[in-house]
Amino acid sequence: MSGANHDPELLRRAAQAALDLSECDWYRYLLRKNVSGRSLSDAEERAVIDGATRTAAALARQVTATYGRLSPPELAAALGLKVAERPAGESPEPYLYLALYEPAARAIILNEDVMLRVRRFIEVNGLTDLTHPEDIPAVALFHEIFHALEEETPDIYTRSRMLNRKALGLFPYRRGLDGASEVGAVHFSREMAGLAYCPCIFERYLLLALGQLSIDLFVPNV
Amino acid sequence: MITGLLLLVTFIGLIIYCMKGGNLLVGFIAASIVWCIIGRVPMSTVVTDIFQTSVENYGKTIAIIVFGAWFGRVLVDTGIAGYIIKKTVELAGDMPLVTTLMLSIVCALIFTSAFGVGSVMAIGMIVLPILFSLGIDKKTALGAYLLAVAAGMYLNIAYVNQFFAVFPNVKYDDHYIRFAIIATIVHVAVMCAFIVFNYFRSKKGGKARAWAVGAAAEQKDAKSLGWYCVIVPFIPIIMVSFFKWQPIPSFLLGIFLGLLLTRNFASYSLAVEKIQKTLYDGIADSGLLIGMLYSVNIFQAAAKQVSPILQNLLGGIIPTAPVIILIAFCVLAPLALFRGPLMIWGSGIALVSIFQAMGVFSEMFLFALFLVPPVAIVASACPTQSWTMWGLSYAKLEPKQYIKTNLPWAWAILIIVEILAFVMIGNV
Repeated sequence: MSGANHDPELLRRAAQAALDLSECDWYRYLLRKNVSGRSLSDAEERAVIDGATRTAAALARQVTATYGRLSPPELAAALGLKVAERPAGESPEPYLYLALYEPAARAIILNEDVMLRVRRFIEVNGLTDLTHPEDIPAVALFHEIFHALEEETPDIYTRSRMLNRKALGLFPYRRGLDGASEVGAVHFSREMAGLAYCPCIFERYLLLALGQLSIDLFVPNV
Repeated sequence: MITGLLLLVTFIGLIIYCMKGGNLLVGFIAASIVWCIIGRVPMSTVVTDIFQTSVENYGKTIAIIVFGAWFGRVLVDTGIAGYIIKKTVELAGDMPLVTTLMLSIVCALIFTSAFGVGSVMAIGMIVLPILFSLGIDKKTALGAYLLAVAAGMYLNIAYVNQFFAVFPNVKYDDHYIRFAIIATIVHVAVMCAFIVFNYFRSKKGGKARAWAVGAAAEQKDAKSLGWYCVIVPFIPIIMVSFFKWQPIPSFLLGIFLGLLLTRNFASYSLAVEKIQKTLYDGIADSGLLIGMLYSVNIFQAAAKQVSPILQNLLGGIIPTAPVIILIAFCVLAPLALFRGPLMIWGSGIALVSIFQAMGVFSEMFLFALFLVPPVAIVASACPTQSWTMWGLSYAKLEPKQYIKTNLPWAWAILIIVEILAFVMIGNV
């Protein structure tokens, strides 16, 4: 359950190295995690990261100006979003997730079971001074609030067709990128929660806890 | 009369056993022994014709199945299948519907050559997470993938060869290939309609966004391969169709080029390691299928021995007009589910044996009739298909939900392809 079978010193060094990774590197990791994001050139990658982080920062400023400094559940309530916790037990979804946003129901679902795993991993392995377990639900909520705001903001950059492509090398067309939306959500959650580190580290903890990642690959190679 | 009735009772017992999910290998061998006892087949015939000759005569088909499964493993292990899939996704970009359609068509094309449950699982482990990450709901994603796998089967040399055990005079020739191409197009067209329908139905409220955590394996970049590797999955079928090669050299050429073009022949030790591993995995993938097919052959040989008794009993009851049988198959198509009487690789083998024993239907007609349900119904909508069992568990989808989602479409495919098969290859 806790995935605590790691050399504590090695794990701590890996966590520290991950925390030292630049914001831009984490966002590059997010883009590359998305299968359709792998075809970006370096310049496109930089442009998408820049566009997504600017959008997220602007949205964070706008939300704070409108609603003041609210806690994530208060902000969700102010925006008329439902928040539900998926009870512990086997996930009905075929993939691992910390939280998700259902636009049809305007509902954010927090995956309690998965968040608990990450929390326990941090606690059991004595990493609470580096990464704080209480940040997990806050960050997850802010992450999904960003997606809810995106849904209701026409022409937002993270949902736009920002890439120029050519079909069969001849016919120009524009396409978007799901990864841009994820970069925006992570950046927004970080700004809103006032986090000093990138919350993507929670994903890496989870994979480590589940034995789906070896410790030498803990720091994403970007 | 009593003997005939006892054979019929055993047949019904076999149907119930198969539909309840009993092990087919055990069921067919047990039914063969029971039929031999009821039919008072001489011991010398049982130990020679039924349990020896029937099995040894199946060697050629088994060889093709093994080489097909080996080739499937090469496509997966060298990264060719993953490369093609990821290139397709990159091309489609952020349009989930287009990506799903393109991926499904590409998978159908890959499975015109790739064979074996291992290949279906390995390629599914690449395709399904991509579809899930695009926000495609699990029943549409899994349904589309399994329809795509099934679509490839009409042309799949290793798959079609399985039928030659039951219909020994049927050939994988130009005449058959013409039908198979049209059947594949029909299957793919219905699959596309399935995707579009389910996509719009599930997307009414917009796309769900998840803070998903990808498995480590998904995060590794695909091995860099050359664009020319995309030709490899189609080598066996090209060699058989256009150059009239036999299946085994065609698969061997595909295996050789697959390893060569992915730089697995860079050193002798790497080449040996890759050849051995892919061959081992391919044989493991097809092992249980081979066992089941051996037992089918044994059962068929036993059925041949008791066929005069069944002919006497059922000759006057079963309609002899092929069109009536065809209509019955189209109307009763769901009876192929759960290895029912229309599924040749299930209790349907007894029905084939009865039809053959009646001596009124041509071999091509029966082949056309029984070829379609395993592809259109079982591979497309039945949880008893080996790779479907894996898919349901992987996608965490209830079998009932899967049948409900896929069966109407699978049924439509069956009706169209059965009629096509009757007109193009069965009406001779």
